[in-house]
Parts: sequence; C-alpha cells; structure tokens
Amino acid sequence: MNDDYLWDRTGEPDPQIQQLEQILGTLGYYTRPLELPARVRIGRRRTFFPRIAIAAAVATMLVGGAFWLLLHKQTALVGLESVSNPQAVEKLKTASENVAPPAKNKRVYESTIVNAALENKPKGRSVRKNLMAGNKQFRTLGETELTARHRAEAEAAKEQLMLALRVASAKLSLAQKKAHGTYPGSLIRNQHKIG
Amino acid sequence: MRTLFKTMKLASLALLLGLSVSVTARAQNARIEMGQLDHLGAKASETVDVNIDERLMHLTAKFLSGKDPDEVKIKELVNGLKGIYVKSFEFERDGDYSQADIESIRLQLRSPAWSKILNVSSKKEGSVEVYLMSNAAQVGGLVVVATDLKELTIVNIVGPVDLEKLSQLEGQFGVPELGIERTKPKPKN
Repeated sequence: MNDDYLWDRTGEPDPQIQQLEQILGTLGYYTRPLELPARVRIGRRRTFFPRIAIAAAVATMLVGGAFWLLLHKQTALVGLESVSNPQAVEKLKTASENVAPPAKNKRVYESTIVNAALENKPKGRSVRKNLMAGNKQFRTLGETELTARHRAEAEAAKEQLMLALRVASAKLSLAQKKAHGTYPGSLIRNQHKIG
Repeated sequence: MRTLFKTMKLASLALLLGLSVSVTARAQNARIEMGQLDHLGAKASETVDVNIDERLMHLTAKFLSGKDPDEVKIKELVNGLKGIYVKSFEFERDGDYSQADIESIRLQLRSPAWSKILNVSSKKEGSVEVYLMSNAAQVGGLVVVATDLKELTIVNIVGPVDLEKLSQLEGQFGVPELGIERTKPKPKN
C-alpha cells in the first residue's frame, strides 16, 4: 500500500486516516481575529488612588518625622516658658555651684537654668521654642538682640555643661577609685587591728 | 480590588522602610532614654536634670574662652560631643527608687553596641557601672550608672569622649575632691 498520503497527501487516501483527520481536525489551530465579549469595555480607566495613597503615606511619614524632631528639640529646651520667680532663678544658679549640697534643702536644678538666663531678655516677645517653628519670628529680631539671646542661652548652657561634667567626672573617678581599691570604704575594710 | 491591595502593599512597604530607617538611626545613636525616671523627681530630696543636645553643645563651645586654660580643657573635652544628659536623684530614705527603675536603663544597654567596661558593686557602698559604645575605632558614647542606697545617678554622654580627661576633671573647676590621696607608685630598688 502506498502511504504517500501520510506524508504529502498524494496517492490513495486511507479511509481510517481520513476519519482521524476529521476527528482531530476540529482541534487544530486556525488564525482568526480576537473576539472580545460584548460586556468587556476596551480602554484603560486611569485611577489616581495608588498615587494618592503613596502621597498620603509619604506625607504621614514627613509629619511624623517633623513631630519627632519637634519633640526632640523641646526635650533639649525643656520648659522654656517660665521660671517666674526671680528668687528661684537665683537659687538655681547658686545650686549649680555645688555638686552635692545638703539634702535637707530640696532643690531642683535642671534644664530650666537655660530659661533662667532667657528671662533677662526684654519682655513682650514670646520665647522661641524651637528652631523650626521660631524661624519666622527669629528673623524679625534685631542683630544685637539675637546675639544677646544667644549669649544668654550659651551662658546658661555652659553652666549646665559644667554641672554635667562635674557629675560625670565625679562618678567616673569614683568608679576608678573603687576599681583600684583606693576608695576609703574599701581601705577601712582591709585594715587589720594593731596590738 | 486588586489595585487596592497593591496600593496598600506599597504604602505599608514605604512605612516599613521609613520605620526601619528611623529605628536604625536610633540604634546607632548612643543616647539612651531616661524619661522613665522622671517620676523619681517627686520623691527625691535633690534632683539634677541636665539635657544638652548637639545644638546647645555647639553653642556653648563657641562661647567657651580660648584663653582661659580651664575652659580650653573643657573645650577640648566637649569637642565633637553630640550631647550630655544627666539625671541624678538623692533621696532622704533608703529604697525610694526601685530596681525596675535601674533595669529600664540597663535594658537599653544590653544591645551589642554597648559593652560594660567597669562594674564595681557593693551592698553598702552602692555600685558604679560604666558602659561604652564603640563605633569602629572610636568611642561613640558613654553611660555611667551609679547607684547608692539613697542616690541614683545616670550620666549619658553621646559622641567621642576621652575617659581619662573626663575623670581627671575631678578637683578642678569646683569639682569636690573625695579627700582620697592618689596612690603613688613605689620606687623600684
């Protein structure tokens, strides 16, 4: 039997092969244009929602960051508003001279020392709480006033710095002495009774 | 719906990125949180609370005299520092502060960035712990936790600090000496 029909469709066709061709022929690939269902609308609908959401997230982060910075600055200049009592101001200043004054007098000397010095500035202007918020008002101040304020702030900060260094130094030194065994307590403990 | 999910995913990723950046920045900072000790101020007979941030530090350094030898020493010491924070409380009675207060500080110092370089403890005389943060070859910060029965002091210095110079300040600029003679090395025979 000539089986050329299988290869190039010449010669005598085999009925079984023809039958198979008919069955499988329906599954073959035929190029035809894409037919979209009627309910599908062609065209891209642009949505701004993702962009708005991203912008909102970024804005939230920026606001959060600014808020954090604001808090951070305010911690540095704690309670800028007032040490209203001048006597208290004097007390604060004198208190910073001593590292360990008698415990009987209850004193609190803290960051308000900065404010004590700032109290000397002319009244009628609100105190600049932080750099970010205060810049607008800050520019309106005169040059000399600016320098005076800076100086007052620096002087007060210097007092604080000295106090902090005193405490830090004393504690470090104490640690060193204790570690080396030259602390009086340890010396007394190690002494033996004579006689 | 799918767009909404994508957007939410993007937004949360951006938030996570921002948070991780801020947390990393905070972790690398040698500043510790001491605000939780503020409640002790009400019980304390004496409170020292010093907060000098980088801006104030720069401002102060500018106004330190370059002629006065004492101030020159201080200027050298604080040069490069980013902040000094001190909280010290003295109490009239024993046990006015709790171990939890100290633990809140120690907890922050347990991160690998910090190393305890000195720990002297005594039941009668209290204890002093010195922690150091090292960034590469230089000191990034220092924390001293000194506790006594009636006293609690936390010192936090942010930035490169010279420990030797700092401890030598005692006895100068009005810093009281503890009345202890320094041990002199014995001459070798």
